[in-house]
Amino acid sequence: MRWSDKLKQLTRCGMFTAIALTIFMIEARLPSISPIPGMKLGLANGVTMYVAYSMGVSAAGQILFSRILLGAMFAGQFSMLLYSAMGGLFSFLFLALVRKKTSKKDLWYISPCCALCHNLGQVLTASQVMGTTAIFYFLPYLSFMALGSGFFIGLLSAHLLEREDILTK
Amino acid sequence: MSEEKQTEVIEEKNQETKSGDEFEFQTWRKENRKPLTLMISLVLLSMVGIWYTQTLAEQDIVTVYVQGEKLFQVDLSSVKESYTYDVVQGSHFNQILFETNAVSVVEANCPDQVCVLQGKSSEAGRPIVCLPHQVLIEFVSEGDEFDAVVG
Repeated sequence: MRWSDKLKQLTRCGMFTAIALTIFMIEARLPSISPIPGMKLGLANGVTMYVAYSMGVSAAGQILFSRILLGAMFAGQFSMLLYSAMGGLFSFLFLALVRKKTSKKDLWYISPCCALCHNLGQVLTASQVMGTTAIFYFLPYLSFMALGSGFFIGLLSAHLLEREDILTK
Repeated sequence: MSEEKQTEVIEEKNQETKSGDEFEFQTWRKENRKPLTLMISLVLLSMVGIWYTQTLAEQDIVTVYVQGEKLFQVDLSSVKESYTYDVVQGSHFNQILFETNAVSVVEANCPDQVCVLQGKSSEAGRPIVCLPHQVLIEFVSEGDEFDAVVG
């Protein structure tokens, strides 16, 4: 890889991290409307999906984890960092496993599956932290929501990938 | 007219838009049979899970966990007069209200306020959680020992 290409890649990663972070921060500012803990849209993950299918999995991983870390810093919720980091790790591992075998046509079901893995990671972490399995009570509610929002985010990133020529030039 | 509508919906539903190609739902469905079945079964599975949580039997004893440690247990059926208990950890605080056959977090200074939003819990052992403060109120079928908590 040429030096200028490396620079381009780095700049792109920075840009996508900034986009994801902005979406994440706006979402964190919204008041939670549902009484289910940990339930949110997760629109920032659309950026991760897009990057994974346009720039590759490793770039997506870098963007995802720097977004999680910076998001926790900026939102001032370090107590939630562990949950989002573990959720991110689970869904990222799943994405890295299936990335090679799938294309952007499969995003409509890959994204909900990633969202499910995210929730599973979060609930498992929460049950470890709390020392009780009672938290599994919320898993079906969370996964129902995850399937819906994951489907929507999958479509979103697939449509973005249609216009990849504009965004990643 | 109805056909137009149908193709519109289908185009929204997926990304198979090879430039200029008319999208056919039937062929798409045949090509994507496995993931489609997977998605539908996952949705059904989570719905069954939600239905299952609604059918759990009512329980009277609650255990309060803080930072993964069991703090105390209360038998809600023996609570005659409602009282509050403050869980204080440094600057974090959650005020739990125990009533006859119901428990709720009435006040907290956590950023998301999800624990307060969860309201009163008495039915079917729905736990109350405050993720940022790591406070959890769980319903159990049988308590091991009773710590009397006076409000």
